[in-house]
Order: sequence, then structure tokens, then C-alpha cells
Amino acid sequence: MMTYLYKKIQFLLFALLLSFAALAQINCTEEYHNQQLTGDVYDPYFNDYNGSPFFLNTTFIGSVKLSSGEIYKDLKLSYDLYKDDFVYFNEALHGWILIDKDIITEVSLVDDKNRHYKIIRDPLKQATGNDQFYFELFTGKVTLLMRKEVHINPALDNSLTDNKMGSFFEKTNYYFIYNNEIFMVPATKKKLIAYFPELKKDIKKYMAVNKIHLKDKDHLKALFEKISSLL
Amino acid sequence: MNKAIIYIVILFLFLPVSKALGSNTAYVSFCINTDRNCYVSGDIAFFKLYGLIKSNPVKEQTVYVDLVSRQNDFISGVILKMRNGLASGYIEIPDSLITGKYKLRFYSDQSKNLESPFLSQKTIYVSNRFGKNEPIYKNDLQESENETDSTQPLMENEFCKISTLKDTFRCREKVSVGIDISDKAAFDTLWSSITVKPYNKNEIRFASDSDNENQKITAAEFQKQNLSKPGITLRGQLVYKSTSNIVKNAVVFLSFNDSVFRFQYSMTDNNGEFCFHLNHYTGIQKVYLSAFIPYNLQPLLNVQFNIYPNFIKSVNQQKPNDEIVTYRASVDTFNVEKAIITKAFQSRLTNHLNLPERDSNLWAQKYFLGDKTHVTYPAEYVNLPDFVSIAKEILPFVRYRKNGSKGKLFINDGESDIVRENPMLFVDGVPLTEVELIENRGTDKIREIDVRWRPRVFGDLLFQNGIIMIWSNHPDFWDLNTSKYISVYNLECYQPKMVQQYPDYSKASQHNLPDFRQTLYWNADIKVAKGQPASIDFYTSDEVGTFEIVLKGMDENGEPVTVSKLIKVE
Repeated sequence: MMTYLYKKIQFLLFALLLSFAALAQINCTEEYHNQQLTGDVYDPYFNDYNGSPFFLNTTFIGSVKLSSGEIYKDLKLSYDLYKDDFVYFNEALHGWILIDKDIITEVSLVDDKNRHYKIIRDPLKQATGNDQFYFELFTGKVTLLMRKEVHINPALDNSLTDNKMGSFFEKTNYYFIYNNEIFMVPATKKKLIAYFPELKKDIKKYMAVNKIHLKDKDHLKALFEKISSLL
Repeated sequence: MNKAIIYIVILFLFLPVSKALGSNTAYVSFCINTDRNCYVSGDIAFFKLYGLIKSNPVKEQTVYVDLVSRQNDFISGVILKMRNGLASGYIEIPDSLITGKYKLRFYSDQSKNLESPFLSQKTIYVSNRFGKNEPIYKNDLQESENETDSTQPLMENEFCKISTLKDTFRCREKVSVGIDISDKAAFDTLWSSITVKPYNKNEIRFASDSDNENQKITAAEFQKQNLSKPGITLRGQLVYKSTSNIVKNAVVFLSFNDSVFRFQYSMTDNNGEFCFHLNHYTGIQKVYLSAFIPYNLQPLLNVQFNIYPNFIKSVNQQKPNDEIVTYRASVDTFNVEKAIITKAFQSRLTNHLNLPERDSNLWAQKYFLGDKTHVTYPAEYVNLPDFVSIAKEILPFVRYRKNGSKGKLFINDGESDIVRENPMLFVDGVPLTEVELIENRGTDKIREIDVRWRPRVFGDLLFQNGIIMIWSNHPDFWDLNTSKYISVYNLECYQPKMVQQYPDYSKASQHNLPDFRQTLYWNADIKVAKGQPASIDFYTSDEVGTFEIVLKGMDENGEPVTVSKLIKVE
């Protein structure tokens, strides 16, 4: 009898608290707000080519931060590396929209393996017309950036049998920001050290001990973390 | 036991996570101060509003101040932008008011949802300068007796001092006042207003503590209610004119007749309600509302925009059939005749400031069109008498066809040779459906034509057939024309700032004008900090007698501080 009573009280208490919680949620409801993402209807040009121009050939759930400071979350996004533009799926219009590049300052993407990517535009924040997107890999006294580009390899006449005009191929370059200037990560250790002459010995030693490869993303992240800590 | 754990887990899933909840016990204090307690009808009452919080500064919010009768009948109201918990404004006291008590109160859109919606209220007394006095009903007599003995001692504050070089001044003499905070004070900063007003023991005074109804809301409640939302809300319901049925899932355009593009849109919800937030606008703004079907942006005809009022306008509560015993005498302290003389000489001491009005909606201005495919300035070409000729001779890819009395626009997409019918046309920033209305506008009237031939996406709107924008030399199109698809609404926006101009008797310019100012000085923006005293200067008027310098404010802990000092004018 006591157990029954205990269970009943427990349930009533739970129901009461739940109703309070639900009420609190109603009170917290945001007023309706219309989104201000601007752009063009996306033209699926890529059907004429082999391969995919999209980053990881997939769609992400992500957020877009606008130059107004407004952030739009939980958008279905894809990164078109060939056009260097972002497209999102507009639920109201039931279509993919190419977002105006100049309204974006930052995009955050999460893939299905829960990996996070932060992509920024105009990393020097000088509105210098640097309208390219960069992946931000590390921020510190020296910031490491990655840029992925997709180009088209035009099809030769004899390969037009599949009615494709060419195929996409991807290139990756790394950049770093130091003293408010952006530089491409050079291919050789010697050229890299030239940017940080005061750390010559430390960089050399670190690269030798850790067998740093200047084309490897993780190696570069570790190296620039080290350089930032030494500066 | 396991069930109990499951219940608790589910409960936590439902609980809204808010940083405001928890150990935050700080509160927000709201208060309203006025330059005087008693006014003559036709006066302007100046006031200062406070909404200060200890833990973090109150963000920008919109507050509504209204003047209501004792029965809470709405008389007039103003809208103010409160920044960092402070706002100041003024309200004109109409001549139609009968002598009696009135209330100034303030609230926000969000506080309307609170059990007690008014953040602060203050009672003022108004004397009608034409002798229209408030009737005293039989039921009022008890209250009337209570009001007779309400003199109030001077307010001292040992930590805040008002000082003058001397205590007695001549008429039209300069008075310099210093305000300082003692090092021993428990507060560091004081935000306040200062007023210099006639002091008379016969004045019906309203002790700040008893007559001011000030609220203290905990910071958690403040954030939970989102009481700091900026912007003026324009909310309404879209209905069909004939049936009054609500129009669901339509899109409402809000636009302005201007030389720059100021545009917003709002989707109606299941109740047919739309909502716009406008910021930075002052005075009365004429807004143009039109409704469309979202998917194809076809205009909706025979619809009506029922705009909800922003002010809490109570229903006029008539007095019950009570017996009028007599009429309340004008027992206010100051001289009604002198106030009338002041008004007769029109020696008004205030001027409206012209503030820029259109610094908002930059987003639409910058990004609505995207890349324009053509920008044409017709005046740079030959003179053409009408738009038909302009479209034919000057505008590439735009065609205007006439079918009977109706006109139709086409855009020829230069890239794909697709001809798009009925592009969205805006004239001086307002959408125009009846394109034939622009027919008679020639090159002398049109300044610029912007064309976007490709489809354009602005938020959830798709302008599939392109966009044409026509800008006039003088934006008179909407004064001369009306569209049956458009409703015009005068929206009351933020109160324009007012500057006070006090007489400067160091110059001889105003020598012959009588000066019977009721308030010698008012300043709503006095900030005093430890080690940073404040000072003000003003001139006495032609009025002799005792005047009271009153500093009222709030410290950084949200605690009210009041201090006053008497001076004599002989």
C-alpha cells in the first residue's frame, strides 16, 4: 500500500514539475524572426562534370555567421570548392540557395563523424577584397589556415563519350598569418625558417625530432602550435 | 527507484537551460523621476527612467511611457529607447485635462506579460489653466481629506552633497551648483537627473517612496522574460476585408517611401499574425504594408492589416452614477497666471533635435538586389516623356506592354534569353503592382532604374521573375498615386530628442521678455562618480521665493538616491 502511495506521489510530483518546465519553455519562445540570408538560386552545373566540387562530397549541418553579427544555426550546408561558395537548403523555398559570399564572415560545419570545421572569410579582417574562404586550423600568435580548391580538368574530345565536359580535381594549400600578413606555407624547411629567424634552432630541432612533413595537416598544426608557444 | 531516476532524467531534459537561472540573485530596479510633481495644462513634463541592474548592464530595450488618468484612461504616450538602463523624455500635458491627479507609467513589450506590467509609475498633479477642475464625487471625500497634509521634509543624503556658493540669489542671477559623492559612500557612481523647481509648503507633494510605484525584478526573471529586447514592435493580423477571415501563411512587406531602400518582410503565422521590429526610427513614420502569396509573390487583394496598439490603452471606465459634491480647487503651488503669461509670450525653452531617421535596414539596402544587372540614369540620355518610351529606348532587356488600361512589364534575361513576366517592381522603395501607374513618368521624374534580371533570394522570398527598382527625382509618386494592394499606416516611433534652451542673462538679448519659468533647470543626464564631481549652471527667473534643487537618481546597485537643497531668490 505504501509503495503504491509512494509511486502515486512520485508520479504526481513529476507531472507537476514537468508542467512547470513546459510552461517555462512556452515563456521562452522566441518571437518569430525572418531570416535574412541572401543569394541566388543554385545552378547544379556540376552535373556536366565527373566528380564532385563539394567538400567531402557531402552536406553538413552547420551555422553561418553574417557580417551583421547574426548567426544562423542548424542549416543544411554544402561547400562548393570550385566556386568557393556555400550553398544551403532553404526549407521554405524547397531549394538550394547559393549564399552571397560577401555577407558571410564565418561558417561552422559538423560532419556525420562529429568532426568540426571552421571556415572564415577575409582572415585579416581588413575587408581587403580577399574574398576567399579558409579553413582555420589553429589560432595563436601565428594562425594556420588551409585552403581547398577544386579545379576542372577539361575533357579531351575523345573522352566525351560520357557526355561530361571534364572532371573535378582538388588541391590543398596551407597558409599562415603572422604580423597581420598572410603567407603561404613554403615547401621547404629553409624557407619556412626564414619567416622566423629568431626561432631557427628551435624549429629545426622540433622538425627533426618530430619528423614534420610540411604537407601534412596534423604535422603543420603541431608545428605552428610550437612556433606560437615560442614567440 | 529506477523509475524515479528515469523521471528525473526526463525532467532535466525538459527544463530550459538558462544562464540566468541559478545563484543569480541580483535584481533590476525600475524608477521614474520627473522635473516637477505639479504641472499646468499645456506644460511639458520631463522625466527620466531607470532600469538598472547590479550584475551586468541592462541591454538596449524599448519602453513605453504613458500618461493616464487616475482611472487609468490612456491620455497620451511616447516610445523611448532605453540604453544601459537609462532613458529620458518628455510628454506634453494637453489643455483638455481637468485639474487633478494623473499617472506617468512605463513598461516594455515584454513586461506586458508580467503580472504587474508597469515597471514604474509616478503620480503627478495637473492644474488646468482654463479652470477646468476635476469633480469631487461623494466617494472621493475620504481620499481628499487624506491628501491635505502631505508636506515632505527635505531629503538629505550624507554621502551625496549639493552645494552652491551662497543660499540667496537675485532675480536673473547665475547659480552654479556642484554635486559630489563622499569617499565614504557605499556606491561609486550615481546616474541621476537634477531639477530646480519652486518650493512651497502648500504644494501638493508626492513623496517619492509612497507615490512612486517602482518595481524590482530579479535578474533571472528579467532575462527569462527577455525584457531587454530592443526595437519597436509592429504587430498585427492580416484578414480578408470582406469576411474578416485570417490570412495564414502569407508574406507581408513593410516598406517606406524614400530615396533609399528600407524593406522588411514577415510571414503570417497560423493566426494570420505578422510582426516587424523597427529600430532607430524617430517621430511618426509612414509605412506601406502589402501582402503576397509567398511562393509566387502574387499580390493579395482585399486584405486588411489590423495593427495592434503598442500602448496599453485601457477601456474608458466611466464613474458610476455618483453624486458630484463640488469641484476640486486648483491648489497647486505655482502661479497659474504666470505659467499662462509664459505661454502667451511663447517663450518655450525646448527644441526638437533633428536626428537621422533611416540608419536601419542596412541589410536590405545592401543585399536586396545583389549584383544589379543594369543601373540606368535616364536623365543622362535623351528627354523622354513617359516610361513606355524609356523602356523602349533606354532600358536594355526591359519591355513595357500595354493591354487596354493595364500595363505589363517583362525582363529579358540576357544570359539565357528567357523572358520573365511581371518582375517585382518597386517605386521609391514601395512595391507597385499596378505598373500602368508609372506610365506617365518621363526622364524628368525618374532619377535611377535598377534592374536585376536573374531570380533573387532574400531570406525566404524568391523573386523568380527578377526585380526592377525605380527611383524618382523627388519621391512624390506615392503622394500622387495610391495602390489598392497597399495600406498606409502611420507608425509612432521613438520620441525625437529635445534640447532645452535656458535664458542666458550674461547677454542682454532677452531683457524685455518676462521669465516665469516653473522649472528653472532640468537635466536628465547627470552622472556623478567618486572623485568626479558634476556641476551645472543656470539663471534664476523673475520669480522670487524659495526654490528647491533636487537630485534624484540610482546608484550602480540599483538603489535610489535623493538629495535636495533650498535656495532663495529675492
